[in-house]
Amino acid sequence: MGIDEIRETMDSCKHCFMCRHACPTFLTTKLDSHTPRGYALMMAEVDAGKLRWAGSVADRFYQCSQCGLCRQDCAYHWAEDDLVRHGREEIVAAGAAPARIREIADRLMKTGTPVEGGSGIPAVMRDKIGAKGAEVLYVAGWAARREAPETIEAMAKIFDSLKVTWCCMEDEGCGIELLELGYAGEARRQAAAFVKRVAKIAPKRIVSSCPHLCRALREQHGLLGIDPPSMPVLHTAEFLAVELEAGRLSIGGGRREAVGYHDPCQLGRKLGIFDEPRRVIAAAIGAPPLELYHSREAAECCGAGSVMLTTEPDLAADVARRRLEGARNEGVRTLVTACGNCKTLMRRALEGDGSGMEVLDIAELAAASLRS
Amino acid sequence: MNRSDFTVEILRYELESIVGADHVVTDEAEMEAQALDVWWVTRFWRFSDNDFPKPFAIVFPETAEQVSRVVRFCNEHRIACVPRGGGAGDSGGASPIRGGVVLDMKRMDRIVSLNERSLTVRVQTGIIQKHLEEYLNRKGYTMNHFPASFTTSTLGGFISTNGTGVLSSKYGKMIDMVHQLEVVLPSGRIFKSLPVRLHSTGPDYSRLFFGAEGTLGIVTEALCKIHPLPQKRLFRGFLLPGLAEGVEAGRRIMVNGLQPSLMRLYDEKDTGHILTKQFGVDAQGCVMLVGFDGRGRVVDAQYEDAREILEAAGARDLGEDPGKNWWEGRYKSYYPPNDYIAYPWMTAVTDTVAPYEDIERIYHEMRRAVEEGFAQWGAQFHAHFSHWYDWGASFYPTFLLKEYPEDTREAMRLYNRILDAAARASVDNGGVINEHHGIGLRSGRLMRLIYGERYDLAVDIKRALDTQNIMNPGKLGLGD
Repeated sequence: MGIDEIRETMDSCKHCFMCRHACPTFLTTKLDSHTPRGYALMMAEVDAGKLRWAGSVADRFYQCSQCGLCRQDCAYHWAEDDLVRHGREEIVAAGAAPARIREIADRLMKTGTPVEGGSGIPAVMRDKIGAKGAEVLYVAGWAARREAPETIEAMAKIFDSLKVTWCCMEDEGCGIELLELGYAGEARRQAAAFVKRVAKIAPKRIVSSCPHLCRALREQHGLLGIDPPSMPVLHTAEFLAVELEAGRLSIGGGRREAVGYHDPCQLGRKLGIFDEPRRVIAAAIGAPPLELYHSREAAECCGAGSVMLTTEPDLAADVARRRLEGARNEGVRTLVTACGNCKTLMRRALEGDGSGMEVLDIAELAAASLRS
Repeated sequence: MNRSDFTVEILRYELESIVGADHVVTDEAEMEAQALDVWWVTRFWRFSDNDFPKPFAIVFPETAEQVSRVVRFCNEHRIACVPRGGGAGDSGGASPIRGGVVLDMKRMDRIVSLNERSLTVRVQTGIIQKHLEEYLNRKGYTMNHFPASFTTSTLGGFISTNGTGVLSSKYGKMIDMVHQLEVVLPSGRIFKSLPVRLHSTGPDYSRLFFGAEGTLGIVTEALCKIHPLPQKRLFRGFLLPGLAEGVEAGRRIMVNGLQPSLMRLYDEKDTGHILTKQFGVDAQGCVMLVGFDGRGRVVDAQYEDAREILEAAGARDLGEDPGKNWWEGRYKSYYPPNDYIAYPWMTAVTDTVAPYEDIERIYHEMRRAVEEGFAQWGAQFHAHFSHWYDWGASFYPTFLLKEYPEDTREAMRLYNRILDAAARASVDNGGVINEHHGIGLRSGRLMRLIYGERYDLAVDIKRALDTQNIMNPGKLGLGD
């Protein structure tokens, strides 16, 4: 835990300015303390006893979306995003987490969601909670449940069209947000409880609209010593692509102009899933989506990652506005994404801007073009 | 600045009234993150448990008018005013050694207009060069300015150090890449130079600000030249028998009117390193990478002539891989671990430019001064010739010590002694130290050595424009 696990990265990155141009938070605030070098330098100074985890230093560490674009840009792929996570573990261990972070972490521990009042249960999910013998366990993610139930309605329509039986969990807390906020111990407990609930349901497949959850189950639970689930874990984009290629999913005719695709950081850069969503979009609208200048591995973050959607809503919205403006300047009118956090944040960022731009989840696009 | 907390708070409020409260930063995190560049001395000082000077506020303006008001404010209160672009220099040029206000220019990153007929782009100078280049590439253009800090430094930083990129042999230094400047003068007045620089209507006053490192004003906007993206880029590597043959071949290429965009001649030490590391080749000699760009047929024809000159000089063709790989990975060596300049090794560059009759002698004299003069410390010296003209060339030497005194002050003295010896070897043999990385604090004391009495003019200009010496004080050897 903490600095010792990331020392080599810290000692390298504290000297290096090269990836700054890529950091979405820095590009929004223009603060050096929001750059990968800034984080490494501050951590080194804490390690040397010249700084304390307090005030603005601790604050800055919670203003990184851990999107990993810095690591992608780096010629040697130093794990700066991991450095920030380790820094947060140090901050938590020092009892120096900012009050808003403590409050959100507390909520996560109690409800499995970072938002006050929990994620809620959209109507379409109600009779699916704990349904027995379902083929698919569908995990929507708190943002979709709370802010974008239309994504879940779209998935329900798709499941029905495929005659796939599905069920849901009331508590989707998988520990990933706690891990990202630096609460590794609590994250481990929550992850273990999640895995137990899944084992009890015993679906054939887990399908999720939340790339964070997919990555948690595929990769990050391993960091916590938790075994991955025994059944396949598919993001909805992968699920749709599989069903499309098997000839079971029939979509098309939903032709729209100026459709772009925003690669969510966790799905794209972190899990390497780039082609499946593009294939689904191409099938739905009859043409490949517009490729943004910064796309695939080099896609810019929308700002929602690493719980920033909740911990830093204003800053995150500013980051999202930047991403949306870039897409708009490239001619995109409908931006498709594949992450409830991205969609929620980008939609908030668009509120009242009069641009007429629309943000859709990939499930919505697919459901809207289902052939009967 | 020694002022009470009360005074600082009052001053802070005044700054907030100019740029907005969100854009005046005084917190510990940002102060720490800004208090370091890539100069060896800065890093050594800081990582030796010493404190580094900090400003009382970092201000992020958005317009030239805001810059003007901040500068006027600094003048009224006799507060030092230090402009900062990327802050990634290697000479302490943006260090606020007298405290005061740092004017961080990175919010001023707006692209104002693109002129596709005259091939110009008007842009605020806080833009990171890579972002400007990306914008231009999307439109089918390029600025062809690719220095080492391309991904992180700002246009204003490059103008203020008169920076040079790797394609400078064809596209020039920053002074050749800009038509017009807008500058906030130390008085706060906004000066805009004439729309073109090739005129005979009195001196080109904009020249004052290229390389002035913010000591005479703050550059806020520039009208830059752009070029269509080249139809073809061609790269090739050659192995020459020795440095002398390489320099002569390079000279012949340039004086015969060829226009290589890239020509990098590595000395034997650099060559050994590159050949072994990158190509697994064990050979003696000096590698030269050449590159041409532009319209396809012109590129091919120019390359053929260059190849004839190189082969006549005894060059062996290494194919396209060395040049192509270098071009594609040209920034890789600046990411850690930088195998030649890795901290804590003591390193510095002492770029020199000189006419052809002197350049090779300067190289040997500088090498001798470093390697023989500091043999007890195992001083190493290596260089490459990377900017070529039809009258002379510039070479880029680096000295490197893997061991040095433990005592901070002793180590810094040694660093300065090596730098002085290298500079003396250049000046005594007809060279000019060519610090396109910045003079800053590192080489300020060398300005008198380089200029002699000529530097009185620079001091007179500084005094006339900056009557209270508020603009980036202590830099360029212009006094504190």
